[in-house]
Amino acid sequence: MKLKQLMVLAMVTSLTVVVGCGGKKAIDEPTPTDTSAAPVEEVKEQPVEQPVTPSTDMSPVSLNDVYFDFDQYNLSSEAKSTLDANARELKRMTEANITIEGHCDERGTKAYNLALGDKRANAARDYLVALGVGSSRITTVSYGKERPFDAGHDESAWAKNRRAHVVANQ
Amino acid sequence: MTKRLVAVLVAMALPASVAAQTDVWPDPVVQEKAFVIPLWLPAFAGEGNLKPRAQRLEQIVLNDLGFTGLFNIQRDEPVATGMKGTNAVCVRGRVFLEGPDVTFEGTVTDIASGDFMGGKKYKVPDKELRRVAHHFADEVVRIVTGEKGMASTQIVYTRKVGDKWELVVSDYDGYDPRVLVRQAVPLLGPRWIDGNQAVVYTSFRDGKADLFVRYLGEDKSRGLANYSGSNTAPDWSGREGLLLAALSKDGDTEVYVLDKLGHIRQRLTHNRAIDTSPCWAPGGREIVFLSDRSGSPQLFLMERDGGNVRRLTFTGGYNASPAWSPRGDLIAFSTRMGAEFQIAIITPDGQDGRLITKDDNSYEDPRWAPDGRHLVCTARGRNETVSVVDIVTGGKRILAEGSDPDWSIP
Repeated sequence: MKLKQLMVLAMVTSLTVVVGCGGKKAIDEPTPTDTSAAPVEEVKEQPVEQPVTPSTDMSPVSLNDVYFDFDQYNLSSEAKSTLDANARELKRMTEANITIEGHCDERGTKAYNLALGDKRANAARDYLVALGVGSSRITTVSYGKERPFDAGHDESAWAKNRRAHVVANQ
Repeated sequence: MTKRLVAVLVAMALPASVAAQTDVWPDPVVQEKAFVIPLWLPAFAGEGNLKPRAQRLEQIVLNDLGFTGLFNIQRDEPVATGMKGTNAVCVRGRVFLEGPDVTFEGTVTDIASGDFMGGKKYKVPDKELRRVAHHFADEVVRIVTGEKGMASTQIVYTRKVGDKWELVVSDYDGYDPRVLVRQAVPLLGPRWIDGNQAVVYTSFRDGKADLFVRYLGEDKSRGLANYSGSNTAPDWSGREGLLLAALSKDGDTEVYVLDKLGHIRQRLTHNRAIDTSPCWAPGGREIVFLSDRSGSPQLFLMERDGGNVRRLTFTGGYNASPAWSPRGDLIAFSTRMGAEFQIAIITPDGQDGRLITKDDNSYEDPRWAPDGRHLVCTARGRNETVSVVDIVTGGKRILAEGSDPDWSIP
């Protein structure tokens, strides 16, 4: 449990630090949630590169991404389960604020995908707010198809890119 | 020669009748023997050390005239039977010294009658050589066809170099690319605005999609729209002096009208669907845009105040990125087929639509050239390139590595 927390914290830290760097670098995937229908992901080991910045609460926030079907922004039942768990976590970690990034796969136009990314991020946010998470704690942003998690050109890559990526703000 | 020439050629690109039996746009129609004007262009004259300049001018003029698709260009002395009795023209050029000044004089004559049709004389400082050639090529087009040439126009586009995004401006033929912006976060969708003095574009500089404007004479961009949410998909109307944009500030992406300082003048769509990719008609009275309000991304029309919304496309499951021709007679767009896009055109009444491209590449985000016949777009084959497509012949040419181009319309 401690190792998992450390890895999540390392990823969250490095993700917030690298905001502003573009490119098609694959971003490490978060720990998968335990649902049989969710895509199976490799959890990549990553050394802690950055010193941990002290904050008011040192325990890391464990949040997971939700995935979407092609051209869709409605939440599947798996997505809702993931968000249920995220909501529980956010109610436990009352100091934590989050950003939800909406992402799309490459098979749409840039403009439409920026809008679709907004829809996905907002769908995730609205669900969390309905569960009682304060809306002021959540920022949403869309990256459309401009920052894919997987730069491949097949369904396995596309599936990874159709997501709402949930990041704890530092 | 009449102004109707391009209109006639463009109309040939459409089917005589549409019988959509499947949910696929009709195939492209290629006019290989498209109506062209025979044009004889012998080598430009230049004595001694002026010869290289004459050759360079000739090369640029040849490329410009060939680009238009309007001419059948001959280099050798025309056989009398070949061009006699036709509307064939002869273009001549010569470079000489007038006092100390290198001077270029170009003329156009009618071959059948021998009549002088027009010409121009230019001083040619070395730095101005390309500009002079382009200007003369436009003169030839004007003299022979009555149409306005586009050899002096420009393209703006983006490209990714390593892990940096760049905003690039070049001549319409790809020459002289100049990087305006280089940054480590995504940059996309540039559009010419404000008399082609500036470019508006979407940038993630501040962590989300915001609109910035860069005047060509300046070395810094200014913020134009950073409303909450995403600020995207700008389109400028020179006639109106107004910008359309897609903003998600009010919960989901809607179409708004902004002024050139970014102030919101009006919200045009009020719909829970995605409404984006707006594009002005050349007269400024109508707008074509993308909406998925009927269940899939399709093109819709509305009036400039947002009223009278009606659906334009009913073929295919994903029609996007509409662009209204500066002639007003056609709307170009990207249609998704499988995992890729092809370019199609449709008349604004929705009656006639057809693919323009149909091959193994993917073509996205078409934007019109000033002649209402060529389109510039992002082509994805092995690489991503800024490419030009001729809707009459189907001919394509690559201008540069890059994507997301826009063409300056004078």
